[in-house]
Amino acid sequence: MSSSSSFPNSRFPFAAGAGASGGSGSSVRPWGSSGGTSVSSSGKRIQKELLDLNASDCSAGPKGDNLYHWLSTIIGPQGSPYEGGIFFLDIVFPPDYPFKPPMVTFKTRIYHCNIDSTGKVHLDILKDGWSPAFTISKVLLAIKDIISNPDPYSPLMMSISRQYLTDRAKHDEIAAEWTMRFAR
Amino acid sequence: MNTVSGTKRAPRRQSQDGSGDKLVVIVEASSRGVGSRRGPHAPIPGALNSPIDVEAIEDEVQAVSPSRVPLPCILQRRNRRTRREPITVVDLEVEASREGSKRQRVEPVGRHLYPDWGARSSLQSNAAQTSKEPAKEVPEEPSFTCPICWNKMEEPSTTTCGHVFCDTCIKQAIKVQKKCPTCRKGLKMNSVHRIYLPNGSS
Repeated sequence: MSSSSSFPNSRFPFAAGAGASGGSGSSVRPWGSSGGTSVSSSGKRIQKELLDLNASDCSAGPKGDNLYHWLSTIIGPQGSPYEGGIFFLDIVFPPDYPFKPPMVTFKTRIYHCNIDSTGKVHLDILKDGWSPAFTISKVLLAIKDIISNPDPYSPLMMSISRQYLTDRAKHDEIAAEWTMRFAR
Repeated sequence: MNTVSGTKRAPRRQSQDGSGDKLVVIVEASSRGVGSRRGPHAPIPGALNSPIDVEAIEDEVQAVSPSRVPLPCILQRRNRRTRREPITVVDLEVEASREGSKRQRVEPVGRHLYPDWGARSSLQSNAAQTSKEPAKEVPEEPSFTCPICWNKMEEPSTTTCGHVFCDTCIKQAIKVQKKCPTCRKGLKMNSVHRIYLPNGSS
């Protein structure tokens, strides 16, 4: 069982060696290894972002010793049905980062019209709206914002978006129930 | 004649101008106890027997504030002494110990701009400055950071929309997206040209 599949149940995703095996299959050179050559331009940029990361209620860091594979936690925003939940995210940086956006997936199940059952997030800045000037800190803040304010008009989950528009109270009740069940 | 609590009521008499009656009260000493030697209504020697004109008294009473009343010369002298500003005696040792415990006071801006302020002579202050402070270093020229690679800009280039990046960074960004990374305005390869910034490696 790989660490990525088991970590949603873990309360300490950044423990030493938590995901050391996770990056072994990756074609990208791990940042801690002595590869002889210097870290690529994308690696330098990721290292700088890691040092500069200061998003509120969010934390992120490399999974094991692979600089291109990060693990992040987002705390459910207050006043939303996701309040009190701890949501784990997987962040994979492409080799040509920052010219291509990072791939962000939810590892904790969440009842949300913009996040599907596989954890894929429908967020403009992670697709066509990406800019090389964006940072992972801004991405995490955008994800936190979409958790608080779902966009039912461009959904990944049609049934949830329909319920959000027609029966908001029921939607919030189920979302809070899922948060209690999966995110605590 | 009826007496009520030691006063006699005289018959009403017309005032001088004849406009109305005046009440004239004749005051006698208050009556003594029943067991006294004198009778209950016996007048005390030296008591005021002449009638008192109440209206006349009311007209003549004036309220005078204490400040109007002239003080004796001695009191005035004392006041003069107390009006003088008190002389403060400062114990330097105590003050020094207090200063140590107090928070550091922020100096006004002028002190830094003009170090000679408050000094006894410019020569003394200059001598003190040279002994305390070393010569200030020349401030470094600003270094510009590329918003794409987050490194110091190498061959800085600007877009037609006015944003500055490393030459290689912006060219790669245009190749991938054909947009400015900062404002997302559409760009082509010929929309970028080199600029020469201070402290920028060419």
